[in-house]
Amino acid sequence: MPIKPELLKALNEQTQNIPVAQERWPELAVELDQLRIAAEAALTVHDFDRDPGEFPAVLRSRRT
Amino acid sequence: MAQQKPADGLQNLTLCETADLIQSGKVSATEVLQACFAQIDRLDPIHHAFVWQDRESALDRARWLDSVRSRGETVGPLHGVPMAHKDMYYRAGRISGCGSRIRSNEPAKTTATALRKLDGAGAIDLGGLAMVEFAMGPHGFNAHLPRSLNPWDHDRVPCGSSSGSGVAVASRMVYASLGSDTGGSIRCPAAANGVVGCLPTNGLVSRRGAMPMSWSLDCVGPLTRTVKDAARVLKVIAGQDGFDDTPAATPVPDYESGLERPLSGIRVGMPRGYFDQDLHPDVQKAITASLDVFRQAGATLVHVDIPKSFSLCSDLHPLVMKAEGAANHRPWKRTRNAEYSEEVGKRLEAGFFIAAVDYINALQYRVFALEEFTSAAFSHVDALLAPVLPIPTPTLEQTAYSNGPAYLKMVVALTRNTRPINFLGLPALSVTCGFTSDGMPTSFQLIGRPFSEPLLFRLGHRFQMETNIHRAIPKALGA
Repeated sequence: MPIKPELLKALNEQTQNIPVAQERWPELAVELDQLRIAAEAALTVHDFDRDPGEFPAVLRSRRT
Repeated sequence: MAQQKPADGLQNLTLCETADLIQSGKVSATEVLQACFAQIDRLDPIHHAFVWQDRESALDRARWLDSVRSRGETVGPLHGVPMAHKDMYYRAGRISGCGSRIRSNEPAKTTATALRKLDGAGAIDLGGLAMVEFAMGPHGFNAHLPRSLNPWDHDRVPCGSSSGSGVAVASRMVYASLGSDTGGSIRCPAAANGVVGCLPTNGLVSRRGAMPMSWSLDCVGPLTRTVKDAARVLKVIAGQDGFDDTPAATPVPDYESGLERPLSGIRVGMPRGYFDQDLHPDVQKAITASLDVFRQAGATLVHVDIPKSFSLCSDLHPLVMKAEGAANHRPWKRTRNAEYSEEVGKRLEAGFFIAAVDYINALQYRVFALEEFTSAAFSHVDALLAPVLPIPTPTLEQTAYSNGPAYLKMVVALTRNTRPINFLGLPALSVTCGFTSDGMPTSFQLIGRPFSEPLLFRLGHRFQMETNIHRAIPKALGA
């Protein structure tokens, strides 16, 4: 289900409190939908034991 | 070259040639600096690469470096070389505006590690260079600053966010410049302006004292005219500093020493998938010709299938960047929103509504993607060759800010080939490889395993030696 502009607006009022122009809410909803789809796609390889903090160590391990 | 003292045209020498002349005593640091001043006086009123200059301090330092040289000593490998940097590298007591109004009056409390290292190597810091506001944008425009112009064609964008760095180096105003690259901000302006751009392995260079944009993606690296110059600068700035935890605890090699080694036995990967999509025929032609140069130089060309997950890296990159950027800017977005340009202010907004779990899952995926990509891409090749910009450098008009789909498509296209590399933390070297039919330079990027900078420099240097494309002079510089 796509993110609704009204939801973002309510979230902003309750939590972030940043100034956002009225006409931006529908655009932001589209942008955030795209990001959420990407995040969902990443879950297909989710590994419960994977620590994001391992990244520098994996970089070093992949040098050869 | 180093045997003769040039009567003029010092600014057309490379960084290494100039440094070698100064070290040999054939030219003084003060003479070189004055040549840079003359070039800046001639071109910067048009090109707007500089935000500020400190000529007095630069001259004082040049005179001191000359006095050191007169005693038969040198400070380091960059002794007397004038440089200027993206205006986001802090020096204690000095203002680095970061292309913004918000930081335009705030002196820095600390000095960037990269600047300290350049100082220690004898470089002269001449000033701050234009950049996109808070480094948030790929086309190079900053509503707060005079527009930086591309010296190859004033109607084309210089790209960004290290726009002034690309313009200043291409215009021969300075010999090298530090940029920063979160999604392509070194490689894109390097490509658009016909110079070399080096994205080091994530963590190789300390970001201490550099303006943060996205802590997990930001990298510090040089823009130069030659690969050899980039190798010399990277050797100076790389390595741990005791402050930034990310730099790898590994010795920094002498990147220059292996540049002349032959390419026999080196396997260069030709990507199949992702990089060959939506590729302009002019860029394709230059890439194909480049591959032939490597083949003739002794390298073996091998096709490499890019894993499907690479595309997801490209899609997840903005999620991570926007979430981290929003966290950095949260207090100012609440209280000083009017001081952001419309374009950058809006670009920050989405990050405030990204779920924490999505952000963390993206970072988890990053580890998996790095493992998968390095296995898939580098099991049969040593480096990949791919275009930096998939299209010819756009016009100013094509990138004029709007909410329309054409503008958004253009902005996304500019970084489509660069941002996944930041997500994976890999090194990449952008090298000019030809010209599109409109006369604009275009570049490939050599992408390697983590910490494979020595190989990337070796390949890039050989390409420049074989082709001399890097010696082409931008139209605006005249004969």
